[in-house]
Amino acid sequence: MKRTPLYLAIGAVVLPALYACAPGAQQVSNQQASSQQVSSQQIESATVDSDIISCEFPKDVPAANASQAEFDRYSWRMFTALNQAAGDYRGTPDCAQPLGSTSNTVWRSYKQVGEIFLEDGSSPGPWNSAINQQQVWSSISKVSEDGETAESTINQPVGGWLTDQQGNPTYYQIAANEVSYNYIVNNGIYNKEGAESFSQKINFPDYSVETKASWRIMEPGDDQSRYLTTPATVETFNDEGDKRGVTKEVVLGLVGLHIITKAKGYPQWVWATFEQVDNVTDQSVYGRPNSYFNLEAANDGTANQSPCKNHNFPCKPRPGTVFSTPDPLTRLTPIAAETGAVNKEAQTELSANKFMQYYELVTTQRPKYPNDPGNPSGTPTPAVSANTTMESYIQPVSSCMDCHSTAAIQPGQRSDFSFLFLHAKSVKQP
Amino acid sequence: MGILNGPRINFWGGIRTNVALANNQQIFSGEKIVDLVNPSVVPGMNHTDESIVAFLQEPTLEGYFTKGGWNYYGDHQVSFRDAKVSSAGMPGEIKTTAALVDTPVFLLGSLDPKTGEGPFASPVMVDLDPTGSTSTQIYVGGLQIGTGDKPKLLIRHNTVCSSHDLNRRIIAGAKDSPDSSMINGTFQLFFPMDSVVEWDQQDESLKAIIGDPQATGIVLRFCMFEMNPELTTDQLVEQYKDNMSPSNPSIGRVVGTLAAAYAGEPKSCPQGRLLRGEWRDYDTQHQASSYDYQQDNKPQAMNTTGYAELSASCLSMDTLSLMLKAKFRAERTNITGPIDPNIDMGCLTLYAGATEVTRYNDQPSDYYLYGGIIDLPVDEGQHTALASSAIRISASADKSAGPGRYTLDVNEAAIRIYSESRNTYLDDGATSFDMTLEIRELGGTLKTDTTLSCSPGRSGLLPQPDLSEFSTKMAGCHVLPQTMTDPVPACLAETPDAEAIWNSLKEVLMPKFLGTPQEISAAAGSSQVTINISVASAPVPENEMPYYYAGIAAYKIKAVDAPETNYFANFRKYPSVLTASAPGMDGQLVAAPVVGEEVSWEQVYAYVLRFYYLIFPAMSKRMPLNFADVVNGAGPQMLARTSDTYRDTSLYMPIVRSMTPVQVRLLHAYLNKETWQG
Repeated sequence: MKRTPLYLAIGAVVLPALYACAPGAQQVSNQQASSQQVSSQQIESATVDSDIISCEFPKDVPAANASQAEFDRYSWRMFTALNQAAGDYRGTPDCAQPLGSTSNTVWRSYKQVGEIFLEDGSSPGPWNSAINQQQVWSSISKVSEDGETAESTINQPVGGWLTDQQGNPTYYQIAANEVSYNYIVNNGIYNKEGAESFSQKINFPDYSVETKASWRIMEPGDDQSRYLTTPATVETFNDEGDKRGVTKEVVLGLVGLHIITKAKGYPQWVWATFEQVDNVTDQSVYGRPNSYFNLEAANDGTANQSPCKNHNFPCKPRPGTVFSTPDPLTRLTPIAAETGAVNKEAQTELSANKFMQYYELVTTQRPKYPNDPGNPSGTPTPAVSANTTMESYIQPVSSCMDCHSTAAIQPGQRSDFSFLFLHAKSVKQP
Repeated sequence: MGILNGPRINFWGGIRTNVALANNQQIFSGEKIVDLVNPSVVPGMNHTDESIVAFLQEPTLEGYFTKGGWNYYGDHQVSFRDAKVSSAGMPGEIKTTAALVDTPVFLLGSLDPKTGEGPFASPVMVDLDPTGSTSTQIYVGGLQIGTGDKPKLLIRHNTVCSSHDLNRRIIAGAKDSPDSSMINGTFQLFFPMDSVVEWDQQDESLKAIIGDPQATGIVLRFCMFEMNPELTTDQLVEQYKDNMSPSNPSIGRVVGTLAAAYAGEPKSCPQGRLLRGEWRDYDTQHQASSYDYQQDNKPQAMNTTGYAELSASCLSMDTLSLMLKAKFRAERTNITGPIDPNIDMGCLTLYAGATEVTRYNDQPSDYYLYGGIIDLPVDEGQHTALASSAIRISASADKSAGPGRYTLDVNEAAIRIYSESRNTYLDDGATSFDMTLEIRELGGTLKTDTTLSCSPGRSGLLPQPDLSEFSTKMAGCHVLPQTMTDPVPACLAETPDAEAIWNSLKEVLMPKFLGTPQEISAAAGSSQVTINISVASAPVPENEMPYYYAGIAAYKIKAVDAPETNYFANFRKYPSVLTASAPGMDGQLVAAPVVGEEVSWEQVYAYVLRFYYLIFPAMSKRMPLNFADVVNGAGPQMLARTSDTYRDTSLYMPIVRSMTPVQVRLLHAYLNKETWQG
């Protein structure tokens, strides 16, 4: 459902430069307009819905036979909705705030896996709890902290950590929305025992949403205005990739965001992945440090290599390298022309929304045949979907849907395309 | 009874078979990369993973798809596409207005055998011999008619069907497609009645089948044809260049029939008296390809296959793979639109022996609405004639000179040999096994004593030895022996020492694990005979001649006095040892696992997983097999799905079923962190 384009009430006067060309803007109903008593200040800031922008999480998912561009616009509506300023209630937007005005976005108010699956396996409680501001960011690879390989499979990139061109690791976060969270809590599947003994088939409700984000440390020279940023306390690592036990205060910039939603009529979910536009392009020509791109590696074919010796686990650096040795990346599968065109449209429309214009959709993957009993995987379309910062080393065979189709709590007990349960902990007896 | 003489439900639609092809040969561009018998990258192939993947995606010099075939990223899943019921009823009373008409039909994958959850994927098509072109098989988990929470029919049953009658179906195949675009494949499945989970008991068509007290189950026969790769060579190469890694499934048409099954009927192969069609095209200006013509440039008959069953009032004939189409569909990807007509043969004449029984009109345009089955009413006299004489059909002389310019002669095979055994994986350590053959003469028991000739032979390209020493000796003759009993071919007959050369060729080409040639007698009045086939063990050392004492072989059976009547079954025997050495992801040899020591990641990758990473990359879209963290993380699932519990399901791993028992043990030892026990 599209949100009321408030600017139509007075925006033709107040905001012509910003929104006069917003395509797809719809007529506001009198009832909706009159019900929104907002100040002039708020109106100037309000988010305006369009084919690209949505303040509320969109539920107008295209039909399965819709074009790539239609799905890509849907992905942008998800992206903009999730990057709207968060309201007081977790996971909801404050549509009176301008898009791009804050890093306290809707998706960042979702519950992170550590808030869903508590260390002692106890119930995580009601949804709208306070956000933990003291979190230490430590997750740098798909390999779990405690060496439990099951946890390591998917929730972060295959093949070890990702070190950027400035020698810093990439950090990852996974979170879920209220629909998804309540399903887990209400069914008592927030710990290993609960999940494994769950007698029903795991079946998340419509519009469950999960996000996976990748972040890199902003160093001097980085143009932070091009990123969604956040201050953070992060773990540091030695040359072997082991934790030093020392943290440091940094500013992180968002470099990648997976958004998945179990849109109505899509039991295989709809999968969108966004990246910061500078990730794998040569920024040195603009006088900025490169994020992950390295010209020499791009030319000599040494980019996109896992840092792990023989792809082994636990990951140990390849001979001649250490943890901080950069892992140069290129994009192996170009962004499709249709998607690129939608990106241009979106970036133009978002040009006044600060960092928002510096993100791009890589692709929207969805099932071509979502409700065919004879084809439960639905035929993932397009075949490949890779975020360079999250599927760095498997780009040509990276397929969100195919990979997540294997998600399971235990053999034979699938978890409805969600790897969240890999984070479930055993109940600790008092 | 069965699909020919009992109540039927017919359907048609599209079908998608996403088979991967990089295992179709082990020698690429003159260089052997993989060993298909003992699945691994061959020692000496010191290329890295990246270079082999890149090589397999390269276009061929001939401009025909890529070195990895036309579908490198296939995941082997098979699904119907918009298949719907088109008619139903009793023979002679088939109605396109039945209540079930237009209801969708789905072939289902397996439920998880441990939890009953699923299905999570489609049925899967697997070649026991990926190098061959004579047979494939589909692992299926059930059937569904209708959608939603209350389907009209839901069957859950793990079973497998093998292809039969891979005969010509279309005169001119598709451009930029394999020759199989001209071919029809017939599959038959049996579902026991207790596998019916639910059905609409108000539906008359279903009630006629499921409610039949004599029925032991449900039989499903379907044919696929007009199959071609979805993408053209240019499209595929372009997408590979951009690392889009598309699968390129073979897509085409499916026409099928669901019916009651009764005791004594074949479960996995078509029912009825075997009809052999011979088509001839006398217009040399319209030859489809050299495929159709012999060396003397006379038109070669195109052979097709049909089946017939006689009841008291009706002769029912399955003509789905008997009649030919002239052309492939015009639109490459349109597999759900109406099917172009068959060649119109006009009036056909049915004979019993030399006696004309009746004439009937061909159904070239709407045959697929009726499962390709024709029901001809017969009176008592006609019945008697057809019961005692061979069926023969001929296209009318008038029509043979008409626009189609084809003639058709259909003759019933004097003897039909068939079996439920078609593709069999031999148990590890088996020393012999029995194969039961069904033998019929005019649909009944044998009328005279019959001798069967049985011989092991090649199923596909394996063994694939170096034949360069024969190039001069063969003097331009390119015929190779296919069985141990093949006589010296005409092209070699004038060559000095022809017999010796031919026997030498047999020595190097024939697999040696599958018994020896034998003859067996079937007595008049019998309808069944059982052959005991021995399985040879490899000499010591076991891996001295791995291609001969493990691998894939066919066992071919002929009636001595009716050599056109034949049957074959394929068998796969796994090597009992790991390959002696194997290169790892960087192309360097990895030391073999040592008994009593833990298995390293490098060893399990080189000796087990690397083959699948390189040859079946679709698997790595689900779990990249070249990363230890992924393999370890997926360990519980891999352990389960390589266990016997999953063997008969469409979920067994690897789907292609080429992993040897010793490789499975090595994988399990690694995942369980156990020491290697050999």
